[in-house]
Amino acid sequence: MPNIFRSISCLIFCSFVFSTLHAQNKKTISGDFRGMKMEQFAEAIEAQTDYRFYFKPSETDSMVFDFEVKDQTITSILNRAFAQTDFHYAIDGDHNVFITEKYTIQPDLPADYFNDRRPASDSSRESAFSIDNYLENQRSQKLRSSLENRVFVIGPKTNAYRQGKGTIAGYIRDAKTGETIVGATISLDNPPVGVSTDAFGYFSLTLPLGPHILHISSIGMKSTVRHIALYSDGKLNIEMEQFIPGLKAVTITSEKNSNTGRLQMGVDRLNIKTIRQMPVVLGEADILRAVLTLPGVTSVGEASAGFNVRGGSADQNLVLFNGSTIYNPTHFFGFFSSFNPDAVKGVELYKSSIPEKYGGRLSSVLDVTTRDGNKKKLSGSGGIGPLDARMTVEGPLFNDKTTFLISGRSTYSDWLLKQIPNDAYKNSTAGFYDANLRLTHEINARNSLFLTAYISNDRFTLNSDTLYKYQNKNINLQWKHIFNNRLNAVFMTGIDDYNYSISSTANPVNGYNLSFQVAQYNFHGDFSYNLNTKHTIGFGISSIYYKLHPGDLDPQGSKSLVIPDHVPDEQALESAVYLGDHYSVSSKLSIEAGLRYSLYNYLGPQNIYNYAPGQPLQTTSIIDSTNYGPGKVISTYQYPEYRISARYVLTDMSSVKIGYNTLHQFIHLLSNTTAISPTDIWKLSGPHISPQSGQQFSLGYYRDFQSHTIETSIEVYYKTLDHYLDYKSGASLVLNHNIETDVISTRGKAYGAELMIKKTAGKLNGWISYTYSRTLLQQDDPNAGQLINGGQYYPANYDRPNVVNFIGNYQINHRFSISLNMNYSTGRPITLPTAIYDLGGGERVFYSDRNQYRIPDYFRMDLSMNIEGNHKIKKFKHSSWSVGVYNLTGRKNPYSVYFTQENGVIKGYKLSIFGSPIPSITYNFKF
Amino acid sequence: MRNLKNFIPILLTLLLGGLNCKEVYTPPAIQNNPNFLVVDGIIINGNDSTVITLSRTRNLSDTTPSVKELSAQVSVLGASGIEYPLYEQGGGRYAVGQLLLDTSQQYQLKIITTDGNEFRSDLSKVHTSPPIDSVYWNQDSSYNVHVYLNTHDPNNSTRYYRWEYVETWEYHSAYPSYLQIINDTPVLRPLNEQINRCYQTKNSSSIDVENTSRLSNDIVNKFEITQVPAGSEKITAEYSNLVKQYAITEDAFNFWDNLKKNTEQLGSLFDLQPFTELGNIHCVNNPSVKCIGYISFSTLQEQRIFISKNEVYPWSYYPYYGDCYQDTIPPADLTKYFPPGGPYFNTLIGTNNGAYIFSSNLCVDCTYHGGTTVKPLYWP
Repeated sequence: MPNIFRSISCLIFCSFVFSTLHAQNKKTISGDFRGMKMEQFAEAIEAQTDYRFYFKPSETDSMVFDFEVKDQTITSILNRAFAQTDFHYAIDGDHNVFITEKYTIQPDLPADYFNDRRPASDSSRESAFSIDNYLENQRSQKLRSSLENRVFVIGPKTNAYRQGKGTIAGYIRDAKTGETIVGATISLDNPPVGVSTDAFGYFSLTLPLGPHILHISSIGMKSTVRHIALYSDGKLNIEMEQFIPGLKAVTITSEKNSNTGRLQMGVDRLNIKTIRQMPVVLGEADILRAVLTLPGVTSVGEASAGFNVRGGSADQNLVLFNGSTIYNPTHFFGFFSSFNPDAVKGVELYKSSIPEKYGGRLSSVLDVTTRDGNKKKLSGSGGIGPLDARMTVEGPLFNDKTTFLISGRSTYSDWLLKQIPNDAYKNSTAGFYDANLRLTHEINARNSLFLTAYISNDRFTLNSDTLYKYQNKNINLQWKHIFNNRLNAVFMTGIDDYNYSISSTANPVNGYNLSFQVAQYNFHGDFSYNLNTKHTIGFGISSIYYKLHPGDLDPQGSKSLVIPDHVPDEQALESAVYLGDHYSVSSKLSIEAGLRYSLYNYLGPQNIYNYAPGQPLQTTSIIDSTNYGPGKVISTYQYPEYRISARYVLTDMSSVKIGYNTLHQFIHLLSNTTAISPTDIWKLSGPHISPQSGQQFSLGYYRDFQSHTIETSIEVYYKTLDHYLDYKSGASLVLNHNIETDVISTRGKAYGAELMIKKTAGKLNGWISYTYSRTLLQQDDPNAGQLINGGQYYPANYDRPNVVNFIGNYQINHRFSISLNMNYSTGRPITLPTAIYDLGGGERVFYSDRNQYRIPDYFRMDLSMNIEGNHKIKKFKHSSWSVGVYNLTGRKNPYSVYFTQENGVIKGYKLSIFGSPIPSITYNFKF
Repeated sequence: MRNLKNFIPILLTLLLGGLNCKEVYTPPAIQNNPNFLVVDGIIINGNDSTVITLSRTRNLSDTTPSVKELSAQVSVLGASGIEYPLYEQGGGRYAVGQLLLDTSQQYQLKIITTDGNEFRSDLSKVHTSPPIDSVYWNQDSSYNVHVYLNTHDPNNSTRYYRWEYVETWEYHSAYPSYLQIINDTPVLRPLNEQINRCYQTKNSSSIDVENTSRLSNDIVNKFEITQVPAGSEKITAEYSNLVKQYAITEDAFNFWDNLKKNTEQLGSLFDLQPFTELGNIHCVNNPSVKCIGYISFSTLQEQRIFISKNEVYPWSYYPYYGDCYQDTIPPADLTKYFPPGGPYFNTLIGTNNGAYIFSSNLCVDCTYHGGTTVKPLYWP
C-alpha cells in the first residue's frame, strides 16, 4: 500500500498530463444513453465491451447523460459524455476506464516504476481505486473551500443553458452533527431573491436556468456560498459548519439582509445561543424571559405565567412546541418557562404579520423548535444549577437515517425549601419536571418522519395543606413528503393536553379533588408550492377537535361529604383552509397575501340554557334548556381571515413594510386574577359566548448600517380586539354551570411604536429597544349590569406605556463573555382604594374605578458571565460555567400593591418578588 | 463537609431570601371619598338585642375614625307593614331589645337619614341558625392556638353560616400594688381596687363565613374561627372566646366572602382584581345615592370556651411592659417622683422598712395597657 500511495501522490502532483489515451480499441458501440446516470451508462458500455469503469458514485450522481450513439468508438463516446463537464477520463492498457472529477490521472506508469504490473483490479469499484481515498482526505481537510469553489451541476448538462426556469431543493444541515438547520437563508444577488429553510431545514428555490452563486447563512454558522450551474430541476443538499470564534476576531454572522430584506414584519427570532447568553434568575436559560426582552412584549409582573404581545391578553398567544400547542408554558407558578434549553433550537415570535397557516389565537405565535438528534454520533449535554439539573442525550439510532434526542429536567426545590430556616418555606413543597423526546427518521429522500413528545409536570403546596398540580402532555407525528422539487408537504397529527387539579384532605369532611382538563386532537396538512421565481404558494388544511372537562369536583377520602359535581364536557371542532402567495412583484416590491377561512362548530352532547330574549343573561332569566345529542352541531361560527403584508426595498440598506391581519379565537381563558394563574380555566365559544376577534394594522421602516451589521427599525401598529371576556365582579368561575351569566364582553384597542437598534456582529453585540404602547379596554355589553369604570376605556393590567430594554453581550475572548440586561418600564396599572369604611368589625377599603393608578416604575439590571472550557476539539467533555446576578441593583420592584386589613386596621403593602440581587452559578457540560 | 452544611442555608437565604419581600406602601393622597352610607350589623330574631351601626366612608388618608351617621330613623319593616323602630344609642349605634319576628314573613331594614334619603335593604326571610355543636382548640407544631367550631343542621337547610366572636382575656402587670396616693398621701389600696389584674375584650375584625352547599350533609367540621399566635398576651392567664353563629343566605355569603377576599386575603401571586360590592341596601328615593352593607335576619346561637395558660405549652411570652425595675426611695423623696397634684409617671407598689417601693405606671397598673379591672360576670 505505501507504494501505491506514493505512486498516486506522484501522479497527482507531478504528472498533470491531460487525457493521454494509450490503448485504442476500434470496436464500436451503439446505444441510447438518454436519461441514464453514470452507473447505467457504465453498465451499458461494459455489456458491449470488455471495458471496466471505475468512478466514485458520490461524485457523479448529479450527472445524467442526454445523447444516443450509433457505431462510435469508446473514446468518441467518452469525449462526448464528459465534454462541458468537470469530469475527465483515462483508459489504461487493461481497458480500465477511470472517471475522475477535476483531475485527470495518468493510468500508465513508467514501465520500471513497479517491479510488477498494477495489482489485479478488485471486484469493488470503490476500493479498487485508492485515489478516491486520497481525494476524500484532501477534501475533508479543505471541505469548505473546495465545496465553495466547486460548481455544482444541477440537471443534465447541455451545451448552452436553455431558456426557462429550474427549481432546486434540498436540506441544509450542520456538517458536524447532521442536524437540519431551520431558518437558514439562501439568497442570490442576481436575481435578488432569497428563501429560508422551513422547520425541517428544507428549502426550494426557483431560478432562471444558468449559473448562480448562492449565499447561505444562518446564525451561529459560518456563512458559505455554492456555485451552481442550473440546467434543470435538481436537488442540492448543503452542509454548513458551526461557527467557532477565532482567538482574535469575533464575527457572529447572523441572517444578513434579514431585517430589511425579509418580507414579514414583526417577527423576532432568537436562537438558543442568544438566549443562553442572557442573564437569568437562578441560572436557568429561559426562553420566555428572553422573549420578554423583545419590543412589544410585556407581562403583568415577574412571577406571571403569561406574556402580553402588543396589548393582547396572555391567552391570545399560541405557544407551539414543534407544532404542539402548550397551554401553560411555565413552571413554578410562572417563574420559569417549561422548555429545557438543551433541547431547544430557537424560537420565533410572530407579533404582527402572522402567516396564514397559523390561526386560533389573536395576538401572537410563539414557535419553539427543538433540535433533532445528532446524526453522526452519540452525544449529550447537561447542566446543574441552583434550582434544577438537566440532561440530554442524542444520537443516531441504528443508522444515520434515524436520530433521537431525549432530554429531561428536574428540580430539587423540595429539598431546598426544607433547608430554609423559615416555617413558611419549611411547610411548603414545590417541584417540577419536564421531559421531551424527538425522533426523526428519514425513510428516503422524499419522506421523513418526526415524532415529538413532551411532558411537563408541576406540583406545589405553599404553607398550606392544599396540593396544586398541573401538567402538559403533548405528542405529535409529522410526516414531510416531497412530491417534487416544487411541491412539498408536511402532515401533522397530534394530541395536546393540559390538566390541573387542586386537592385537599386536611379536613376529612371537606376532602376534595377539583380537576380540569383541556385536550385537543390536531390534524394539519401544510403544502408549499414553488410556482416560479415570483410566486411561492402555501396552502393547507387544519382541524382541531377540542374536548374540555371544565371542572370535576369529587370527594377525596372516605369521610368526605363532598357531593361530586361535574360541569358537562364541552367539545368543538375548529377547522380551517388557507391559501397564501408570496409574490415577488419586482426586485423591490414583494407581497405576501393570505386568506384563511376558519370554521368553528360547537358540538354536543350539551345542555344549553335558553335565556329570555332581550334580557341580561342571568340565572333568573333562564326560560328552558335545549338538549343536544352527541356530535350535534349546536352553533357555528365562520370567518375569513386576511393576512396581507408587503415590503418595498428603498435602497440596498433600507426598506418599508406594511401589514394587515385579521384573526379569530374560539377558546378563552377565564381568569379573574390580575396575573393569570395555572388554575385558570379555558372555555370554548358557544351559543352564548362569541369568539374573540382582532385586527391589526402595522407599518415599519427598516434601515441597516455598516454592511447590515447594525439594524434599526421603527414599527407602529394599531389593533382592535372584540369580544374579549371579562367578568362580573365577584363572579365565581370554577364549577360554574352558567358561566355565560358571569362574563362580560369587552373590547379593546392597542397602539404603539417600537424602536430597535440591533448590532448583530462584532465583539459587542446586542440590542436596545424602546417601546411606547397603550392597551385600553372598554366594556360595551349593554346587558352587563354594572359596567367597569362606567363603560369608559380603562388601561389593561399589562398596559406599560414606556419600556426600554437593553441586551448586551461582550465577547472578551473566545472563552469569556459578559452579558448585561437592563429593563425599564412604567409600572403596571393598579386599582387603588379611594376610601375607607368600617364593616364587619374592621376597616375595609373601597375600590371604585379599575386601573386608574400605577405601581412604581420597574427597573432591573442583570449581569452574567459565561466561561467556556478550553476549545480542544478532541476533548471528551466540554464544559462551561455561567455565573450571574439577577437584579444586580437589588431594587425592590413592586410586583403588586395591595391593601389588607390586619387586626381591624387597613395596611398598604408593596410586594416584590425578587427584591434583592439573586446570584446564581450553573455548570453546563457537553460530550 | 461540615463547612458545606453551614454554607447551604446561607446560600439559600441569599438565593431565595430575596423572594417575596413585603414593604409598607404609602398610597398617593387620594381625596376621592364618595361619602357613602355604611350599614353594619345583623338583625337578630329572639334571643339577643339588635345593634346597627351607621357611618360614612372616609378618605384613605384620613387618620380620624369614620364619621358616624347621627339622628337617623332606623326601623325593621315587615312586608305586612309592621314596623319595629331602633333607638339611637349615640356614636352611630341604633339598637332594639329582643325582636320577635315571624319566620313566615319577610322583613327589611329601613333607614331615613337627616339629608332626607331613605334606604331599604332587600326583603328577606328570617333564618334560624342551628345550635353550635362545639367550640374547641388545639396547638400546631409551631405552638399557635387554633380555635375551631363544629356545627350541623340535621335538616340540611342552613348551608350558609356567618360567625362573629368576642375574645376576652385576663392579663397581669409586673407588680401588684398595695398602696395608692390619694390627696398626695400614700394610703392602702383596697383589695377590690387592685390594678394588677385586667381584662381586655376585642370583637372579631375578620370575616368568618362558610358554606356547605357542596356537601351531602349540612355539616361544618373544624372550621377555624381564629388563631392565637404562639406567645400572645391573650393566653398569659385566662382566655375566653364567645362564638356567635348566624344563618345567612347564599347572597349574603357571597357578599361577605367577597369582602373577605378583597380586604383580607390579598397579597398573593395571583390576586383577585379588587372590587367593592355594595350589598343589599338601596336608596329608594334616589338610586344614584349608594349605600354599603348587607343586612341579614337570623337567630343567634352562642358558645363560649376558656383556655388557660397552663393548658398551652410552651408559651414564651414577652410581656407588654418590657423590663421592669422596682425603685426604693425614702419617704422624704416621695414628692420628687409623685409631685403634688400629679401627673404621676410611676405607681407605688408598697413599702419596705419605711421606704417606698414603686415602678413605672406600665409595670404596675394594668389599665395602662388598655384593659379594665372589672372582672366579667362569667369569668371563672
